[in-house]
Amino acid sequence: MDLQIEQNSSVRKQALANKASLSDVRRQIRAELNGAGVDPSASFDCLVAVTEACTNALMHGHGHAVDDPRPEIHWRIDVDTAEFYVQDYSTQQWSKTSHPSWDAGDEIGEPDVRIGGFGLDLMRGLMDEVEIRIGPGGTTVCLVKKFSTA
Amino acid sequence: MELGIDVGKVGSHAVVDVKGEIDVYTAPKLREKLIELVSEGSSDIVVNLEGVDFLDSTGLGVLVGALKRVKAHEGSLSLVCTQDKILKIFKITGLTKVFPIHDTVEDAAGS
Repeated sequence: MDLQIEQNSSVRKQALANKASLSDVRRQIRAELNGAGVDPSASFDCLVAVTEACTNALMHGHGHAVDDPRPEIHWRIDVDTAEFYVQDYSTQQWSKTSHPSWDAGDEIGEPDVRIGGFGLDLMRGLMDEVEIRIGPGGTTVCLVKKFSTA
Repeated sequence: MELGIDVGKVGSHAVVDVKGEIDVYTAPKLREKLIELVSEGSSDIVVNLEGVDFLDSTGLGVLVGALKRVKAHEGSLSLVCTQDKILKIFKITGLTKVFPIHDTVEDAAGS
């Protein structure tokens, strides 16, 4: 998984302004997936996984000061592959427990079912490749979906 | 992005029809409505997801939280969903073992 972001003109980039902006990000990506002929089910998988990564970046990857760099998403969509890179500039560890869904994960009387941390499970369950790169300057979540072509 | 929420009644069950996209921005609206219903005494709730176009883990968290609340009142929370793309979200997270999921509101309210 490696995206030459600065050198590839087909890569799209969008800063993540706030939670309300996620719908617009999905709209843009959905339109491109549709344009590439990706089937709706695979498109939906991508949109959920991307939203999970973006949500985490917005909730935990931003210091909330005015001059803090905003999290960003970069993506490239072809007929057979879609790649998404969600980058934040936080040094907080990205983990199951850092995702907002963890907070609702108290016991509900179903001891055989683990509750919470759904975001990471969804990304891994919906995408073909998921990699979380944590470095001194922040975290990048890399998501890849491969499409079957007729 | 708007999240539409309408509340009705089928038998003794409160039925919450949800329309639109449930994510970290809109999920608080659903959470507040479900908390309101339980605090008003509705402990048997059906959440109809047939009009939902998008659901992420934050939405799942809201539903799990609501389930916990109704169970504390010896109530129930059932879902209505026939959309494969949404059902897949529940399957991946193991929540099909937690929520009764039905094809129709009538089935859910009768369970």
